[in-house]
Amino acid sequence: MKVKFSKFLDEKAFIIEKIVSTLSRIYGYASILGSDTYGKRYLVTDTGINISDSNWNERGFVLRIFNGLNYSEFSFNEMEEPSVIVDFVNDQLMKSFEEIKRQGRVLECPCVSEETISRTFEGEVEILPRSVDPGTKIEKLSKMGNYAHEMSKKIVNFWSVYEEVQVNKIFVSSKKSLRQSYIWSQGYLQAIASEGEKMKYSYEGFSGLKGAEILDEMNGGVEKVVREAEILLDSEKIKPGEYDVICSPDVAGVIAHEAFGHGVEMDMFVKERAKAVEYLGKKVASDLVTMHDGAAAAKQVSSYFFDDEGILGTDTIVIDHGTLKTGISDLISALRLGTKPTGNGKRESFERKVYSRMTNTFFSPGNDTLEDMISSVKHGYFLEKISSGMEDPKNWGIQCWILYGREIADGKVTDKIVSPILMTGYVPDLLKSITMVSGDLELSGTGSCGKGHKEFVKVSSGGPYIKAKARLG
Amino acid sequence: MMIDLITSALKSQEEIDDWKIIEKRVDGKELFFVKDALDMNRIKKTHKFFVTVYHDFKENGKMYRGSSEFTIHPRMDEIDVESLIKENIFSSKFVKNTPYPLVTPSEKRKESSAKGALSNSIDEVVSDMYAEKLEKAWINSSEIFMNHIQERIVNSKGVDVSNDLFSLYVEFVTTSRAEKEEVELYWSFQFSKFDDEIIKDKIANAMKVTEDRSHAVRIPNLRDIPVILTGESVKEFFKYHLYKVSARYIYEHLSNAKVGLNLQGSGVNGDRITMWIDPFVERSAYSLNYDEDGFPVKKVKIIDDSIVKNIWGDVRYAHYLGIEPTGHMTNFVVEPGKVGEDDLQKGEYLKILSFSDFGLDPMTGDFGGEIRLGWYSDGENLIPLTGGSISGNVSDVEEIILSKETQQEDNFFGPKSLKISGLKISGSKKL
Repeated sequence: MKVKFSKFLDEKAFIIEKIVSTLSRIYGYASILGSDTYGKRYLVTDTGINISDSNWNERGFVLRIFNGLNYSEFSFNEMEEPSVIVDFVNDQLMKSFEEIKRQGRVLECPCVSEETISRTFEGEVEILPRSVDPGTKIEKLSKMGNYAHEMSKKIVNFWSVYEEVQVNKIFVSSKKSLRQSYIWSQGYLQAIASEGEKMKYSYEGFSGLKGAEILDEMNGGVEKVVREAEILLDSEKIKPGEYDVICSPDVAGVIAHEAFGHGVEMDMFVKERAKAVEYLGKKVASDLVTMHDGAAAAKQVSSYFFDDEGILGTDTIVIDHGTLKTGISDLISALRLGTKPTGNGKRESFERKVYSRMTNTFFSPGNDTLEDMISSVKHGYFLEKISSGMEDPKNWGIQCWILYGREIADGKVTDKIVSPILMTGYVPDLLKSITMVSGDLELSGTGSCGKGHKEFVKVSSGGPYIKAKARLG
Repeated sequence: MMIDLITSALKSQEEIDDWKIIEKRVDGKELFFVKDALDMNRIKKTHKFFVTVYHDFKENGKMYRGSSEFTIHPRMDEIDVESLIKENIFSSKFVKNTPYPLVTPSEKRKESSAKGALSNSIDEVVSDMYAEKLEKAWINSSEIFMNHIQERIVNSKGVDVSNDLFSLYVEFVTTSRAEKEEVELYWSFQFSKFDDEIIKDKIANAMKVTEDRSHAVRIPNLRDIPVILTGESVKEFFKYHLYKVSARYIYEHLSNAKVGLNLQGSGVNGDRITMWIDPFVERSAYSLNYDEDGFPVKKVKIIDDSIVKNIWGDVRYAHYLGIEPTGHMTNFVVEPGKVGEDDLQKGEYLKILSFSDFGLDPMTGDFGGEIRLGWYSDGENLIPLTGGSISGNVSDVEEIILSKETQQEDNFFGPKSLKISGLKISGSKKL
């Protein structure tokens, strides 16, 4: 089913064009991004049900002008007559810029020069979320919880979450007129198990450019998540040390994301915060490692037609057989660096600034089988379920919280489970230690990615199973 | 007025048993710097209405309170507003929650002083941040967000209250260069009020710690010695205790805490924790008069010498547990200890000044993080260390000692340092 463009944005298109046209004449460049993203989040737990707006909902506009030296922006959600907006920009926005300019230096940036383009993109899903009534969605989620409790008496609470989001965006500058509408959805199951004073949980995520059909996929994950929560009650603490590890695709994906995704965000190049600049064209990983990022690189939750600066999505090969090739960039960073933007300019919402951000980030598959990879490990761990990660673009440290690891001894997975695991290390050491890569490719997009500790955007990451050496604690 | 239009539309719907509106306006100024040069200036103006409709119904002889939450955007017309309300009434009929009451009107509190705080201009913040020039450390980049937030909470029971809030949020990265390479550290702080000295102190401390990191060596495989947490990680550590005594955690079977329980148990040596929830922590951007239900929030002692004194929670979860509500808030206070930081730093220890991202899981009690700067003491010498990690579980902690010196870290006021024994330290092989 085609995803129809927002009626609200369609009605505002004329006024947006008028404002952009007037401001472009005054400032040389002006653009407006209009967002109307809406959806619902359904949560069913043992103790309650909640229906609310999706956390990703937004409706508003962000206007950008070239102020003569760099760029100024105004975020707002009450569209006024064009003359009111234009007056606000001339008086308030420029006044704020002039005040700071008088105090000190301004980091200059060239004015945008762009090609004429006018395009519309409408995504497709199997089942439009609005075509399924809330009662059916709640019933399906409730059944998952009931099934979980039938399976185990140790489950003290079970959460089933389903979230559907329709993204609608319009981008207008003097030469660009772009529209896009698409739907993504995600589901999340969490089983919380308790025995005595001990409490453990496991989770499973589902995501994609999908509609309500994802509810049926979620059903298949209940048993796994319950069994995992149960076995984690018997988990042990890992003895800190360096181990051979097999990483599941979601763990591999977050390594890609934290290790070299954040490290090649090119606004970090502008700030001289990226060590990656010194390594362009050099070996940073084993020959088995090829890493992609791009809105057009995969079909997942961060696959869009154009980014938040009106640049079309691309597929960037960041690492090619171990060699660092290039970074990913927003428009302003590209203008400052004299490079080509890659369609990675993303905002948390219309209320926030654009940064260079990841989209769908993943390692390419290789030729090994998971069985061979496990058999090759004398003593190590099979790492599953990523909890969180943190980047260090300047000094290339990495931190990933992993829910659990299964011990591998003499080429076989044992019953011993360790949880949780903190993986740390030096990024090139970790990536150069990759010696086997499976032929699988799985991406997951249930999480979100922050820049520092804020600016959360939707991303996906993944890859094949990889074998590496890692420091675990 | 848009709020009148929404109220009138809600009142006209017979199937609505109760309703709540939170009207929120944000006026913000934002500045972004690369080194000391302006990268971008931004202005933000937003206005939103967060609405909840409640629908009570009976099924198989049992009463339920259904609800659905949604956003109404300013300038939506009457037809769109009505259609959105009807859609959400329909949704609420599938939400089978145990009934709970809404907040009823209380005595009005004096407005907070956000307007006074706003007299501090964003330009002053910039001047304070870049006042000190050091040779060996500098601000790589910074982001300054100044917001005036006005909230009005109205419900069908007659509540009509407001919060007038101010927030200064600053994020910055400091860099230093030693012989080998540049190193950096990430920092952020948030206040509702500030003066020049607070900002200058934050910057000076950040520069000093970053310069120290430039001399740091990789952490060797240390045995499990006492660890001293400082700054934000102290706040994070206490979140375990804060969450465990919340009505929501207890109702959702995520905690078995009850009044009288000894949270630390008898096996932990050292200090016993005393904790308050406090809606009026000086300078906290989270200090407010009313929670999001319009309930007048209260300062309450929740843990006294490790013994649970009171369970805290909003009207809904307090009703479920049959206790007095405190209101929902995020400010919390931990009483400091009796030992000075100088005395904490005796013998062999690892003091951690910066993590890449210290995290604590309040459900399981697991915590830890990668170390960006720590000081190792063998009892005589101090060595700056980086890399490696610490990890542990609250239940494994053998001893806790709180410093008598205090700090404010966003919504937390409490000890500046916390010495813990019983953690695992994972070292790096590289030396």
